[in-house]
Amino acid sequence: MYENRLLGFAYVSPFVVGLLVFTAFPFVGSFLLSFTDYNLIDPPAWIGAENYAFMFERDRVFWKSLSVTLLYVGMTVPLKLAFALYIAQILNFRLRGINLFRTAYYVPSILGGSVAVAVLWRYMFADYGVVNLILGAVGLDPVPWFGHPGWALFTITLLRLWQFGSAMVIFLAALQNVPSSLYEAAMIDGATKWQAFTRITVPLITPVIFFNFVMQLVQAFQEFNGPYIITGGGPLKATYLLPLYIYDSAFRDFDMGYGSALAWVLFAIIMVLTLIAFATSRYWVFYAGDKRV
Amino acid sequence: MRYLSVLASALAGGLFATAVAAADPIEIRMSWWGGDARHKQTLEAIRAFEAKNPGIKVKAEYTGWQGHLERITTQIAGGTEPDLMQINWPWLPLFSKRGDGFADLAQFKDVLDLGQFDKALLQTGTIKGKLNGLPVSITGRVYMFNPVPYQKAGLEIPKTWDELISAGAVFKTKLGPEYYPLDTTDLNPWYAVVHYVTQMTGKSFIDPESDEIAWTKDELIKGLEFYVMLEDKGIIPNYQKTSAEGGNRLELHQKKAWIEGRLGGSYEWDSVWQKFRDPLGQNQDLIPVKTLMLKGAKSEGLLRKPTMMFSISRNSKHKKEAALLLNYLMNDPEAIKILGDSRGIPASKVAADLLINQGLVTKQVAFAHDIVMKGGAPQLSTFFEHPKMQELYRSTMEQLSYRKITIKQAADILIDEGGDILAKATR
Repeated sequence: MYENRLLGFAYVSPFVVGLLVFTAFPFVGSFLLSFTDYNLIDPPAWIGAENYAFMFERDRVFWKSLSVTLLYVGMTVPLKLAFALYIAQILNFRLRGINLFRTAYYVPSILGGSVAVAVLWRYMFADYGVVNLILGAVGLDPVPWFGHPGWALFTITLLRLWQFGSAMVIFLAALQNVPSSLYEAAMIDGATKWQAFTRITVPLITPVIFFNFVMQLVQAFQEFNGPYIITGGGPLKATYLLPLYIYDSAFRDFDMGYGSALAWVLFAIIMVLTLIAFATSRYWVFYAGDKRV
Repeated sequence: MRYLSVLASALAGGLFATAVAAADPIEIRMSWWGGDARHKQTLEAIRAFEAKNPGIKVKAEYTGWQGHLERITTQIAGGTEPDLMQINWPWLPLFSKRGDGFADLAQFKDVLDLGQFDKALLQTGTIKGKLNGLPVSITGRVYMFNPVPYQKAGLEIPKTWDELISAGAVFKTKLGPEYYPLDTTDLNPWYAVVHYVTQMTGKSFIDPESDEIAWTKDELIKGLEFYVMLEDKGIIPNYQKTSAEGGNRLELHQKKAWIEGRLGGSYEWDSVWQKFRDPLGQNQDLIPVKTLMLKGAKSEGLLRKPTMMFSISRNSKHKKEAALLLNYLMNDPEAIKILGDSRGIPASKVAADLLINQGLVTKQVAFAHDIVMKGGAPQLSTFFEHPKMQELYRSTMEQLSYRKITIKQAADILIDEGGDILAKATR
């Protein structure tokens, strides 16, 4: 009996050790570091809340970066959810070769976040890139995609939007679970397609919308690859998302304490927004067997 | 429990095996960053060293430039750095604020011939009286021009600022709005300002003795006005133009406008001539010229600095052997011929003479290097290229170029925030 219990511990130990070493330790460690001045070479010096005070009171880069991050999240999450749901709705029709389309639409999600695609993006949207070439062919002026701060953030957003596949697949599974008898009943009562969508489909898939919303929110706040490779955070820090600032603080300036403090602020923001999403969910998310009308 | 005991004996066996292996000849580790050519040549030189010194084995650790600083920092923080390391000059103060971050190379005079190095140059690797890094080579910024767009515009390659400035309008009317007589990528707008004000005042931006900002606000404002004028007259592309060409991440030689000859030239480190020359192909060329001069200049105002250093770990158990290897790489004719100019034109006198006399250096590079070495250049502070200062230069020049701030505001930011960064970094 005793031997078996020990064996059980041995089986879970890879996970437990991994969790302790690679998650719990950095988690606690970075929190403590956020109260220090630490450059990796000299021992960390305890400076209390000075990092946080500097961040909120004097660091213009932080506020700029935070506002860009919120703007980015505010643009990508709703757009991506809407787009994923729209495509899922189309792919839910019984068409010939539908599986081919489903696969095709999922491919960008596999490729999308990769370095290679980010580099490709940089060439596509460059001044003399293919996007401006197409615009020129239809008689439009070229757009300075990376030259103008607003366009640059939009270009980065597009890269994210393009990776709608995983959200779409989850939506698709939810759509297929909506009983067709409900639609038939609605048709008999004379409902339009739009009414059927807003009154039947959407309420029934709210748990999945909620799930996708939270996942996308958390991921969008952590976006790094796209802006790092494509714009380097520029121009005028218009694409300088918080994760880039964290990276630069820690690994360019070797200001580990400040980098940790920034990471904890980002963590706090994500946590608070997720909690808000959970708290409000009981007003707009409906589960099967729900007694509310 | 059986499983654990099996595991324990396996671990013990592993430890035992390494303990036995460690009794062999002395092994030293050496690390550097670079490209393929440098890797190949350095490895060959190391093999030749091992053949001469059978008691010493050298373990080479080489990577590309990207991420090398992170790698070295982690190693030093953990006390596992190699015995001999290639260190970038601006990194010295990061690792050795008080001069005790690396071994003092002056201790190894009996095996390391420091007489081959210029005294002032050795000073750049010295912190608080201790020689922390041995400068490998010297580099400086040189104007280089592509003659093709100038010929098309019916102009000679410029020799003075005035000629360059008047070329702006000619390029626009004869060649088109996409043509510029000079390019400014990344930090180059700032280097243009630095060059202008240094010629005007004879002073470096940061005083090398006190590590405080040496220019007055008025002097800096003159330099920034000069930059804005270059933009307004279409002599250089502005930041918006540069960013739109493919993000801020493209280097000059990766730009279509450079390859296709729409940019007339650039102000670059002499050591990168080959990299920027290559994409121009057979029909174009890249010609380094004597530095452009301002009327009434107090100095040629060249930006000259040691490129990289070799440092020996303070924790090394075989410092003397590392110094022996370092001396071989820097001063031994056999190694000099193998290494060539893979790290720029060597600072060591015996090496530079040998390479240039035997024609082992490209003519253009030797010419550019001559300009750098002979011109007047006030000494640079090691903090001039501190990573945080570079970010400040870049972001301030960018905001100015987008006209988000005025010239006066830009000067305030550079001097005030620059002062704060320096105060914190030198503390």
